[in-house]
Amino acid sequence: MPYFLDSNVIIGYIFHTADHWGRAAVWAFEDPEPNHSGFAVQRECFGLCDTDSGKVRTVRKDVVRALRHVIYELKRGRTLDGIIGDENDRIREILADVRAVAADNPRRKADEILLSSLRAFEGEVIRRQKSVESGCTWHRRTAYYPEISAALNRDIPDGDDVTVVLDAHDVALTVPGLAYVSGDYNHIVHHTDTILAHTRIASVASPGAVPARVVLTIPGTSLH
Amino acid sequence: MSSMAKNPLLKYSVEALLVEANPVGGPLFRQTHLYKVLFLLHQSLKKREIDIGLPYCWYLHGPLIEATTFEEQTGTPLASYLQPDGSTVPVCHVHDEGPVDREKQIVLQEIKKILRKYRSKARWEEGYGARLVGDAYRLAPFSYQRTFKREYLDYLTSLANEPWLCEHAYDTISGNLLQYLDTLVKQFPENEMNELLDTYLAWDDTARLLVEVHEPLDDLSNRYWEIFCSLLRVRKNENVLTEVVEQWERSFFQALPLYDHEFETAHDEALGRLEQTPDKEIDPIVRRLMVYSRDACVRVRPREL
Repeated sequence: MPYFLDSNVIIGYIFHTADHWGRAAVWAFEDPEPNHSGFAVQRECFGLCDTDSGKVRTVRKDVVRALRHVIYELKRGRTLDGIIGDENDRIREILADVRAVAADNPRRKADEILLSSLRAFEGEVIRRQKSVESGCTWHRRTAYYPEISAALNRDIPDGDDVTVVLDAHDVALTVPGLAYVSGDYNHIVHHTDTILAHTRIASVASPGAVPARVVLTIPGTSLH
Repeated sequence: MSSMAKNPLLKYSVEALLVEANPVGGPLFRQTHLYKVLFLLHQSLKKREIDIGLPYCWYLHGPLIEATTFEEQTGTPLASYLQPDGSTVPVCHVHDEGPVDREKQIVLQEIKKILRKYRSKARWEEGYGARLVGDAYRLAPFSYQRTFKREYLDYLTSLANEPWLCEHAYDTISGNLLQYLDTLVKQFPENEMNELLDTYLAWDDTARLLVEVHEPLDDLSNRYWEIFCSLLRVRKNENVLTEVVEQWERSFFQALPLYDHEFETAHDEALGRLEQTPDKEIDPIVRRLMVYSRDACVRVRPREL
């Protein structure tokens, strides 16, 4: 079954982790069936060409920026404990992990552990982003479907969500049996009946609900 | 009869210096030497409670005289003291109207005192140019500047001149480079250059990556030095017209995103060339970074950032 991947599946694949969602995103993406997506999803994830926008780039930059500041503070002589107190909860969790690794291996300095982690994180994200860019067919819709749009807008409150559904519908016109895979229950999956009633999309599925047979083909439940 | 300059003491100081340093307009006293000696003169005169109001800023190669303000203050274009080949012109007549005799006497004493450090009688000593720059840099406002320009960039130049050394002694070289980068981290003037901190950290991260993938740092480091100095001249100048400094500030903020983009691109390219070996110890940290990033992405509504 060919898939039309929503942004959250792509994001779950790029920022991969071995939890339920991460595994599901990998299953959906690395399934041998063809992957499709649209311009709106591409723009949401990666921004317009050569701009500094797009969720993946923006969030990666934010994480990198925050950790570079921590490394800088450490190199200037502040202690990890001192820095942990200043950070938000999520960064604090990351730094607590750094502290645990440093405690287990006193030869490794906290700033070096953090730099290695940052390198591994960014390397993995770049590798996965490249594989998304090449492993997915990106469609640019030129047709407008005013009647379908009006029908979808009656139930789906966010116009950007409707745009993505219309992109998927446009692909479904030429790709029979297209399944729209989205991890967004509230905004997409919850409206499955509406979507199926008005478009040529064959099914709407959350990533965890892709057919069990694809599980057999899944690599990459660990990071390396 | 020409009208007197707004700052006749500045005009007198420059012309008196040129008469002493290069009476015949020879090729050994050039623009860069003029700027450095003027800066040193300005500093030493301040200690004697004379302010010649030299308009200068710290820039790419040390103290730089600001031409627009200089002309506004003296009524003479700075370039008119220079020949097309960069050496200074012979000055036949020193405009000495305005300053009192005591001032003129002290200025002349200080000029002679400074020049004596670099000349034996009327001959310039070997290496006078480098010593002049070094002495000017000794008065630099930030130790970071001295380390970056006078040590780190000089070291990169020495490496570029000895490519065989890079091939045979890379462990030592990379150790030295990382040591420079660590020193610079400790010296970065974050209180006065805070707007540049993210750019600096992006450059530093990329420079460390280039060390890891054995690639030269010259181009990237020179580019960073440009943007650093673009803010440095805003922060560290004296007697420069407000509108000139405002223009520098605008141009810094205009250029900054271009440099950020350039460093980010260089960083990603270098990261793509880096061979990373699996490191089980850090896996939990990387996993947490992934979860954190994914959740941050998905939390954002609407779809477009």
